[in-house]
Amino acid sequence: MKERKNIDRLFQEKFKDFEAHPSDAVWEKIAFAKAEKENKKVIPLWWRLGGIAAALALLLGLGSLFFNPAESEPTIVDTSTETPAETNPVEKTNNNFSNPTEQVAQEQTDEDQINASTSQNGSVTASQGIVDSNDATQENNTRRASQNEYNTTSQEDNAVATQDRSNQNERSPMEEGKARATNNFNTNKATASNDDVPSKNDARLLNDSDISTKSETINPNLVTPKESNKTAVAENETEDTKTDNGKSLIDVAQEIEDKQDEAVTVINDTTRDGRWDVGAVAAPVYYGDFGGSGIDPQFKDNGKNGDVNLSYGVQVSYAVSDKLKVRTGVSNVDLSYGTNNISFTPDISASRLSGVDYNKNARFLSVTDQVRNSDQLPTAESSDFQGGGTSASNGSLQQSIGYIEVPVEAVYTLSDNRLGVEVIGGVSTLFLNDNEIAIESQDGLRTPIGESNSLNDISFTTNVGVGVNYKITDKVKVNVEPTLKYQLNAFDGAAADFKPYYIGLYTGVSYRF
Amino acid sequence: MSQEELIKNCKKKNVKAQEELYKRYGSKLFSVCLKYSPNYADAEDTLQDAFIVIFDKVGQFKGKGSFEGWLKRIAINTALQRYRKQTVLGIINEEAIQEVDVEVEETNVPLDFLLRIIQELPDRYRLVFNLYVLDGYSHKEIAAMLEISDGTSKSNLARARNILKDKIEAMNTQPLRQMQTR
Repeated sequence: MKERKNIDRLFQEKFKDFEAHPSDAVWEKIAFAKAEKENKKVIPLWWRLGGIAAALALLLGLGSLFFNPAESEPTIVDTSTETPAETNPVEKTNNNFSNPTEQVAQEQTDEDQINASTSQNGSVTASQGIVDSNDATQENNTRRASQNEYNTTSQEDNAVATQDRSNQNERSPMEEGKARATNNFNTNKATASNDDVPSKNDARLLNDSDISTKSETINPNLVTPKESNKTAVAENETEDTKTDNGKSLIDVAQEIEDKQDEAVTVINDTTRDGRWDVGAVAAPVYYGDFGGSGIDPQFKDNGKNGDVNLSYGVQVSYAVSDKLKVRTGVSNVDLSYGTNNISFTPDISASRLSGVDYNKNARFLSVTDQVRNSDQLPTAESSDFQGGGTSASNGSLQQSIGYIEVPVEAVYTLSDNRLGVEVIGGVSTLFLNDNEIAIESQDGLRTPIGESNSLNDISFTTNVGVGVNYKITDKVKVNVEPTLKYQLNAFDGAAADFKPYYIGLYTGVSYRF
Repeated sequence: MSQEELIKNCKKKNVKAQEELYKRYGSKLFSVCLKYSPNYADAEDTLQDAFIVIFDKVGQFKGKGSFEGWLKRIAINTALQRYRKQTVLGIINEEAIQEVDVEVEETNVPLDFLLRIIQELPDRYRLVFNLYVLDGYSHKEIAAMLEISDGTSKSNLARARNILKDKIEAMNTQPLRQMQTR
């Protein structure tokens, strides 16, 4: 009975009650991966610190770049001299570390030999799971064995081996998955050699050796191994102390495997889903103050009105955990405000404002706190007129400041649905790049008179904000973050007690990868 | 242990409960992994990864919808993560093909033959076919999940159907040989 049938229906009917039983080894692997995940809790701290360190390095790097390009070179030299010092202890601990590895390795080679013999006997139920004993597996075993011999002969090789191990961390998630499986399998061998491990795993053994040779070649190009080496040091040290306590060899082997796996999963987690965000932000910023004057103490009681200017820039953030992100970036901030109710008058012996470095053309301009409340021009009778034309005009002083801002902020996620809410706290470093003071007369004529001499070239702000974001897709989101940035040491000298802040409505788009 | 208890204990990371969860749903999810993976070994790896995610994220299951459905989605997503980045072999105009009904002559086609030909499909075709035909996702949803366009999803599905049809028909003409190679 042949009947034309829609192919979709055919598959749907056949697969309706489809179930398949996975091999028992899968559960063992899951249990193992689980255990290692629970043990790993110490390591994320490294990443947290690493994230902060990276942000600081970026900040300092950018700072020296923007501020004093000539001084950036010694910094580079510094790090390069630092590197050998760091690698030394690694080698040292590797020597200690080599002991258990050797023994485990020895055990493994023994087992491998057993495998070879069992497969010759043709016993299918052999314990090690090298049932399929194809040529490739054999080759792998011998290769493994010879590698282990290297380990016993020279310490340098041990160092290389450990490096390989940390390099595994750099691999793509796919490979990691496999490596993880291999590690599990290896430990199965080392710990419970009588366990029935199915032949499928053999293929993965091969993968393991392939991968480790691959990572050897990649090694020199990588930047991060330094960090993973450090982690390795920490691990090794703990292992050493444990070995001293007289733990059994199998325990040690298990620990080593555990630690390896830990490292793999930690990085696995970080690379698998997008932890990095890049984005562009722009914000209207309002400049305000909590008292004082940025120009001269005599204006401290004058009314001030902050202007709204634009800040724009880029930012990058790294998620150290589900809830917490570390963020930095670079942006340009223009700020300005006016000091109202001032009078200015040409005067040959003009009293200078203490906070201003005058331009040549403004040298003979006397700017004072307002002398007269009325806007009327002086009449012929008034005393002002007798001063020989030195009549004062009313107006305001406009101070404009431009900064390059490098923030380092922690972003804590309160809610992470399609509409997300975050709180933001951090500090920004501001590098002064624009500085002007001008007089604006009441009828809107503007004359630059000079620049402030009390603005610090580098200053800091503390930032507090609330962010609301909307996820357009999985990767792209729109943020709105009203943020208050309180300036810590923007002014010095004559204007030291000026306490400015600025508020920005930071709006941007960011992309996660 | 009732399902509620099981979930509750899994949220507490109780090892016994986790093992029980695996025993109850392992086979079901493995069938998902088999359909979405190119072979048996890969399916086991996917299953392993899926359960790690499940034990990690079970706290996020809020009891909305069926638990089994939730587990299945995680298994599917795990598979998608593994295979969606791999490109379809051979560059073809992915928008070109129109969706049409594909029919085959039904004889008694064995299930494991059907599974094998699904597994043999190029990664993206396999994912699209599974998502659309066997798990009832719409092209729009598939497009979002695989980061492709609706049109690509449709044309991938059409190509998958054609490949499957050819293989079924080839088997129908030479059923014996195909069965032996299995």
